[in-house]
Amino acid sequence: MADYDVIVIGAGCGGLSAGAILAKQGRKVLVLEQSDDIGGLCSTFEKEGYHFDLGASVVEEIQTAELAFKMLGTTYQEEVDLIPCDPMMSYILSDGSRITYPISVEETGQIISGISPEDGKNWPKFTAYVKELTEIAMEQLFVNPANNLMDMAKLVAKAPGLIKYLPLFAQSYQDVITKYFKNEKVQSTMSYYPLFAGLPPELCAGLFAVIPYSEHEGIFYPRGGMKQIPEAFKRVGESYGLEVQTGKLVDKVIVRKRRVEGVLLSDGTEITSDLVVSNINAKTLYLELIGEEHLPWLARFGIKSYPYSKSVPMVYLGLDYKPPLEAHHSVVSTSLEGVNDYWNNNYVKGILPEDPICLICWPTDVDPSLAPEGHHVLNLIPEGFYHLSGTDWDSEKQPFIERTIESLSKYAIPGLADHVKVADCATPLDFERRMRCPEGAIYDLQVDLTSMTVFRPSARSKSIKGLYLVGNSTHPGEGVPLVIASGLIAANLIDKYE
Amino acid sequence: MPKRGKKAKEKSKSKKLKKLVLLAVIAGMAYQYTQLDESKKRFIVHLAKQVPYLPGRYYA
Repeated sequence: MADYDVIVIGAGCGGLSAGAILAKQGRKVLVLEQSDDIGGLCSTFEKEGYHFDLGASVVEEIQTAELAFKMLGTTYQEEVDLIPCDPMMSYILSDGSRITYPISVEETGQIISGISPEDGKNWPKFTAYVKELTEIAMEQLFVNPANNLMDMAKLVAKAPGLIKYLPLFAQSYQDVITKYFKNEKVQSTMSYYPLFAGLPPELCAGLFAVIPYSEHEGIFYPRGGMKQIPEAFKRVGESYGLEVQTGKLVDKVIVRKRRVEGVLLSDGTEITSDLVVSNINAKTLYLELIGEEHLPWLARFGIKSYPYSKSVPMVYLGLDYKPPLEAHHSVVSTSLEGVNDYWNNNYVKGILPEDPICLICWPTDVDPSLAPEGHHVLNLIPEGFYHLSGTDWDSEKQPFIERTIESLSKYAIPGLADHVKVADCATPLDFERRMRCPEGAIYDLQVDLTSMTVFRPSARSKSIKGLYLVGNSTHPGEGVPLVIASGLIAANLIDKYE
Repeated sequence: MPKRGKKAKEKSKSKKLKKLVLLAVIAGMAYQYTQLDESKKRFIVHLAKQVPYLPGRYYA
């Protein structure tokens, strides 16, 4: 008899949501986390009185988490104190001007009309078009498996409206946005989002054009930091008998005759289980923890072929003043062509830009408890990448912090350089070393048409019996809401098949 | 003309026609590609490079 029914590798949101739901199903579940704390990339750390979010910075598309907590017999709002954020996003353009969109779709349309009446007329057409796709995605695509063509056929049968969006598969994100919006400033408010998929606008799939609309459905911040979300899953899961152990690095998944039998820890301990749920990068899982020798040649070929997602450095700043920002999230933005140019001239060549595109997360805008009184926290994601030309991240770390502060002080956050009390940075190398993210790829694998749904590593492994995947590496994809969705998909699959 | 010979000739004609149609389609697609702007070409090339991996990824 196995030690556990299920072992979960990794206590990120995917692993914990799956583990909690499986525990509620009556299974004996153990979650093993390599670091000393849970949450993975959705966690919060403290330094000198300031609380910084390690990676994920905001909660949107809350429907998936609402469903997961409902399956656990509770509600999202009971378990996590979600603070609504409004405005939705502020875009800081290279001429120093700012365009700030409120949560309200209608008010955003008025702002766009003020910039360009023609684009303002197209905003309602655009939002109507992508709103339906967003609803289908939330209600069907993101919460059902997409392991094979039969799954896709079932999805289309449940949501035939998906068919009218097939043209998006043949278009780039840039194609879709420029079809509706001609003004460069308006386009600049939508140029950043493809980078979430790890690609520039001209290479990113047209499907991602839902993002400029989807955040208008509501964005929230969990009081106390992003860590409150995995903590909530852990707490609720433990009420059903879930066991979570930290400081436990899994070295190997034990496989015999193409079936999982448990895991081997780095300290030599072997723990047996009937099933294994993996919340780590699928390439690391299959090629290192399981081993190529256990994989059919076609699966091995496919798994090796996935490009890693974009990696990012993060800069964490504790400030003794209120930064002159207009929203919880701001983007130092540029045009669609500007983002494409960054990709082709900086990313591909490994040359860090002087004045990077930068996502600025200001959580103390809505949650002052994260910093001493009167002080503030910024979590910055300046564009960067793993492979640097002629240098390395260990050498670049401190200069990178200084350059980022200097760059943002120019016009995005005036006065910033004079008010930094605490500064820290997680480079792509740090993410690789500490978070088991190869090449610092915080979203695991690149997302485009050739690596999504049936072409993304399956939630129910096709190569190894008893192995299930959750997290960024599998359907539906990356980001906290989709990772939570992957947890409930895996739990449902296990309930069905095991 | 013997019946078999007539059938063989018609079959050969049909094969040639199919090849011609296929060539015309490929030529048409190639021409369409040359008319695209550079950005769209990069999008297509980006996806096309990954197509050989699709069977393997389906079984991943």
